Amino acid sequence: MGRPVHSGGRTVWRFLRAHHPYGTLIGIPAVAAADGVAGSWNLWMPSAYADGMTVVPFRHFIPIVLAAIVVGGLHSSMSEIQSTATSVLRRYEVGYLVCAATAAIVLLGVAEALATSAASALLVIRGFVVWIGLALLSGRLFGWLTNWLLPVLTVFPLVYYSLDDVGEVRWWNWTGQPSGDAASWLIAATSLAAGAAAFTLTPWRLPRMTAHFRPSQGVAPTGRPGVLRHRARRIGPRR
Amino acid sequence: MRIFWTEVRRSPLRWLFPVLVCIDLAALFGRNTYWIGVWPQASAAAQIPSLFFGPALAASAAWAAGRAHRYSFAEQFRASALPSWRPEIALLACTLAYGMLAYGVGVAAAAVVSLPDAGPGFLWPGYVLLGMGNVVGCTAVGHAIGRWSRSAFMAPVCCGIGVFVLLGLFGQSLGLFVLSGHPQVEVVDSALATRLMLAVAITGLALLVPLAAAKGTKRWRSGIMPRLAAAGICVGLVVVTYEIALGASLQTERAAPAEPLCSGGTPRVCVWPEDRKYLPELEKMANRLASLPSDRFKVPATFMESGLGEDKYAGFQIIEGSMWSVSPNMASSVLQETVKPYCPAANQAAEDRQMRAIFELTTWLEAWANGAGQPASVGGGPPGVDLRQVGALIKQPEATQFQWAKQRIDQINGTPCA
Repeated sequence: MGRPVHSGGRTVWRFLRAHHPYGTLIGIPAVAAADGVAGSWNLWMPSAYADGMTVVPFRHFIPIVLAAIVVGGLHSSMSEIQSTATSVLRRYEVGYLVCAATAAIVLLGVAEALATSAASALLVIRGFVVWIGLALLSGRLFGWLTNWLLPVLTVFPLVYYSLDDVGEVRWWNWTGQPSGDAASWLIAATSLAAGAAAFTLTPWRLPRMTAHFRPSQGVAPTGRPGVLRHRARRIGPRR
Repeated sequence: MRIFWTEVRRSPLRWLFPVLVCIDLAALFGRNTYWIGVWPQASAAAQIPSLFFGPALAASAAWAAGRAHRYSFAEQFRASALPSWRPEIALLACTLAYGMLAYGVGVAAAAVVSLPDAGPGFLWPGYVLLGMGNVVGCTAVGHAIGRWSRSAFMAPVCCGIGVFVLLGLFGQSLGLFVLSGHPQVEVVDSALATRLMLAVAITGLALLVPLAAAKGTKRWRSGIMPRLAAAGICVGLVVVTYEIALGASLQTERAAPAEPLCSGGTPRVCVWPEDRKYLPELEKMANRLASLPSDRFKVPATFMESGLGEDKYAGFQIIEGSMWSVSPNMASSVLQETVKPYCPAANQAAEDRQMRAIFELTTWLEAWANGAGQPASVGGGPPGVDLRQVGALIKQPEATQFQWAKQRIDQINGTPCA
């Protein structure tokens, strides 16, 4: 920490180098392009609706892959060392997330708008917002590499229960409701808020916040527990 | 065997297993439960969830198989004294065991809830095996890609979505799944065999993948046999895929049973033995039709389910367990006996009047057989018929209804032929 941190291109690259740069840089445009090309493929799947069959365009589910790539970039190949890092790294993480998500939204929106229509572009962007929130939550819970768990699990209800008995799209089906639907945007906002909260609740913030509710530990930990602190705790005398 | 149990204890799928069971049971019981009590329908219903946890299993199999790269011991695998397929088969078997167990829970649940209503017989193995083939195939695809790909991250995501898309695009047209299993149809053994062989071939490839994964490094042992095996499986895969795409369709019509299940009274109602649970309700409908005044209405002696009679397409069909779906056929067979045989009328106006009378009378007879108007959940109806009017009529005194019906009958019988 003796060296001043430059926020130049080299530092950005130093951050990216540990965070799967090629996968992210190639993956985001590639998936956005795939949306334009393959978005209109119709998938025939069984459903709980009386007809027993539902047709879902592939574009409804492409944002899952995009959200997974964006959030997956938070995983670092040197995460052990980074757990002792300073707020600078944290700033880069936030910066990366905002930039990658924005780039993904812009590319996805442009690809979809060129392939079909602006309304359809809004619809896939809404899906992306929902799933990036879920991916952040899932990534915090299960690890950044498994951030796809919760988003992928939503596919089942979205396909199987997508229509009600009369064949109408259910109110919570954010992939099927029109792009202006208020309830679906509310779901997107809720999911994004949950994801943002999960992203904020870093491993060192959670103990600090819950310290007041744990009377057995006298002093609330003030710093973030780095590798050394973990070690110290493990080899220290047992209480 | 010990390795297998170690894998079972350590597998990441032990956390996913409850989720898979939930998906299975939700897909099974979350929709219309008409299948309960009809063995072929229950078997087909038990097979449907495999389509949803197939992609989930593919993703998790890819995750489980990707550990060699995640924890960087692919090198150690390659240098080990065991043949390369041995550790693979333990891991794949463990992933499969979890998938099969989740699938088995659904199958067992379908059997248990069907037992009280369904008569003799049991789940039809054809449909259950079809679903099993999907589970095995999806798992093997996931395992193969997870083991081959260096990316611990993109492999599961791409596998899950990719398998989902493939099943969605081709599952219906290639006959990789069925939506319902009427008693009139059954799975063709040879078609089922090709689908199972596809799953087995993919599994074989998945076991041989470490060979391909050893990119750029010389293997300690030269493996000519595994290479030959891989080539052989690839050829088999092409043949089987060709056979599935262009061969016989998955389901075929069954021969009618020698003695269909018939009700005791007159008029008789005959159904396929598997559909026995519908018989009391169908008998009630036939009796309601028989209670119409016999001077105006003639009711046929027997109502047959389709596929039982000489004419394969005659007779009623029970669609998704809805008794309303039976009534159009019953109503029109009553009408056929009651009025003069159909012939085109002399002019368009008379023809329109005649058709309208026929449609209205049919709709009323349907409602009469059910003792109620057409439910809101059933859409559509014959053109030009006011369904609400018929729904109101059915609640009026019988004399009014018969008077209304007599007008229609007279109109049909009084229309001169061209």
